[in-house]
Amino acid sequence: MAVKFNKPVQLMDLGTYSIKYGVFKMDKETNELEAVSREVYTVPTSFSGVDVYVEQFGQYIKDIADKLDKKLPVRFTLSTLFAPTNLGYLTRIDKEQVQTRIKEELEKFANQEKIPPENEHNKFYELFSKDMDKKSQVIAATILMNPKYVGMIKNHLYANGLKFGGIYPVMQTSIAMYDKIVELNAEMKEEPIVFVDIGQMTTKVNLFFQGDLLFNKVLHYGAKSFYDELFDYSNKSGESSLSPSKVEEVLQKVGFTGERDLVNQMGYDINDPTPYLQNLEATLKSIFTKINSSINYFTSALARNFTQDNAAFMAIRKGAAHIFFTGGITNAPDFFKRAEETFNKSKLYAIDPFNIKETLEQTPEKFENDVFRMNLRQTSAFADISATSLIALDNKKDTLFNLVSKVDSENENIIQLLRKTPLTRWRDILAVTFVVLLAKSGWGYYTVSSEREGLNKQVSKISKFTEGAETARQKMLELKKQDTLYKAQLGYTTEVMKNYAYWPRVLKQLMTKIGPEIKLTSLDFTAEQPTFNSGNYRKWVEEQEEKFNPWTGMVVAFKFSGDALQRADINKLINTLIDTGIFYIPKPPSPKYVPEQVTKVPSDTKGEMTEITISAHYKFTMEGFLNLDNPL
Amino acid sequence: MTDDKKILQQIQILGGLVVLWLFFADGFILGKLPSDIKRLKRNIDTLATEKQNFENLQLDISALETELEDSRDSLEDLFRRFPSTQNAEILISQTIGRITQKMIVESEKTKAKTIKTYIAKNSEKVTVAKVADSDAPLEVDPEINIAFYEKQMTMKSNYFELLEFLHELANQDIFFTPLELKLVPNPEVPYGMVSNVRLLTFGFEGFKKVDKD
Repeated sequence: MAVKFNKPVQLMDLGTYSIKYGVFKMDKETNELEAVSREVYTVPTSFSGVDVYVEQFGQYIKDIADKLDKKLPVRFTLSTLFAPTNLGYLTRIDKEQVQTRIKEELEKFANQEKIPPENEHNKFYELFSKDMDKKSQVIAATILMNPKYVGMIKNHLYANGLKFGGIYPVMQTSIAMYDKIVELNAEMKEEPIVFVDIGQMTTKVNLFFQGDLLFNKVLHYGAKSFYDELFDYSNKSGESSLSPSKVEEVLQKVGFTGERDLVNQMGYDINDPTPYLQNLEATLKSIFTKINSSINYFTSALARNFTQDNAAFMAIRKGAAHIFFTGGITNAPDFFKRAEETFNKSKLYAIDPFNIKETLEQTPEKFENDVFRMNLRQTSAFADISATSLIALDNKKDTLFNLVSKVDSENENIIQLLRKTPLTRWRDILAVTFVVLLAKSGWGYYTVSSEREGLNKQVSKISKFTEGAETARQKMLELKKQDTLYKAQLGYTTEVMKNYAYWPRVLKQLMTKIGPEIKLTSLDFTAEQPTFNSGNYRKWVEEQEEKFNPWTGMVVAFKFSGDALQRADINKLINTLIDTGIFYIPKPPSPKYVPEQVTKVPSDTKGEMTEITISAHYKFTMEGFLNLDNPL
Repeated sequence: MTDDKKILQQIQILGGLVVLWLFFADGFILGKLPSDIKRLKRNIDTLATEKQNFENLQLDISALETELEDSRDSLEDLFRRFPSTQNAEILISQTIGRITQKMIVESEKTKAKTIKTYIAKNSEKVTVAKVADSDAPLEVDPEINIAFYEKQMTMKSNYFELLEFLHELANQDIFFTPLELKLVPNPEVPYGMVSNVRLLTFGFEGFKKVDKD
């Protein structure tokens, strides 16, 4: 068995009385199933048909959704009520016709159940085949699954954000459990083994021999029958009837011990519990009888058809060597005592799905142990889940026995999830998306238009600050021009004033320095104004060389012409003038000697001439510059 | 029509609406708003810069006004001596006439006003910073026009009258400077002098470019 160890798998057993679910894994060390989590949900409404049940499953799953693992797909075990199972016994048919006949069996069965035979979930399995010459003996299981239920179950899951992992028929779970048992105890393979699962509505009987499921029977009796029978009895006898919950309470506490006192202590409104207890025991016996009849029917009437080996046939004829019980009723006190009375030739077991090894070692004494029964009460309900785990954790079997091929992956990506989203959900998502988009657009428009309004105001506000900018610039230009003009005026005036002559002072200085030895003949002052040569200006700005300096300073030159009696007088005058600090004479004059001259000039008397003697003297002309202060 | 078909139709309609809305709605609803916002933000940045420029300009104006006010107080009296008004020539003639009353003016010649350009040392172009990029450039070349007035006279006087004349010349409201002063003794009178004087005064007429405009 290629079972994956330590891999979690989520399973749900849809029972008519309760829904069992949880996450399970196979422990590698113990080779037993271990519950990571397990819960039992009691179905709140009584069973009134599969359609109603599957419809109400929406509410049930809603109640338990929080306890389910949303990452792991939920795999379902469905009883024969949901997935009707039929074992077809085909005797001595042509080998070539086996497949056709099995298919015909399925179609016949499907027509009976009013389910389309071509439905993808319908399956048939060849469970047993024995060739005899050109003929075959075949047992085939045909399992029907209404696609409507698959769709409804899926929708309920998706509505709660859960994944769908497929559906396993309960018959296959029995096969898996059988395989597990014979794996642990190989000797059992050669003995007829029967599995009896007493459910709420039905009791399933499966008989295995030499590794094959040879017989299957679904009895429409179950735990509910105890209540039904008591109800009939009360009606007929006029006694008070007990509610289903009270019947369950009596079965769990008193069981089939017949202890009246225990019933009395419960304080029910009944006069005498004896007939009630007798009725319960009779119902159990009736169920046992029906189970026994079913087994006997096979072992006596059908067995021969499937084996020609006498030893094997004789083994079958002896009846069930081992009977494995499951179901809530099995933990009722003295259940096994009563069972032993009916199935006295068989060894009986109560399956502990989480400890198969220990199950095989059970003794009759153990059934009376309260602790054992308490544990059984908590674990036996998970028998089908346990067996389904063995299938689900085995890839090969999982593919073969899962009635639904399209299941959600454990590692499903978002695209797959979206693909599986129901149309209504898509519509809702789109509607919500559209509304969100509308709101987003509205909000976007509001925020953007508000922002624009705000910015507009800001622009308008800031614009006002610069309204007088052009006027200010013009004003600045005028001010700068004024400033430049001032600078130019001051600059030029300073230049002019740099060598400004206060002429009375200059003249006085000069005149006082001329003694009687010197005779002034002419005096010229020439002032050269500061000038600006605009032609040089550009070069001067670019190269800043003094030779291009466009400005010239104020220069006042003088030219003095006179006569001196002696040459030394000229030098004396020059020195005296230089000493004033005003006159700058760069080059001394070159005096010219003029000898004494006698000239005749007309006298005052008419016709007479007068002689005039001009003494010898020196003529000179000296030039220089004035070096004056700046009055500014 | 079955429920599934109805739902499918609703999905198609909603899907279409969502797609249309996703691709076109914002553009349709918002219209030019986003581009307006970008433009306005750019405007605000520009305006903030302009505002800063304007504030700086106002500060500069204020500082320059104060500076000029101070200059004006100290320089106005000085600059008043340099006439450039329309009646400058009349004023000059009146002043000269007044100070030569005691002299014998033998000849007198007034030269027509001449204009020369001058740029003060270290003066750059007169420019005003832009407040906005779009502002027209404001700049003026720093060339100043100076008006020159010349008067040439030949006078006879004695030495002392000449000294007085020169003293008066230096103390007028209008600035005069002799460009030439030629003195020749005049033997006809005691301390006689024949003087030939060429006088100059000038005034600032303003910016050359402004005048052209």
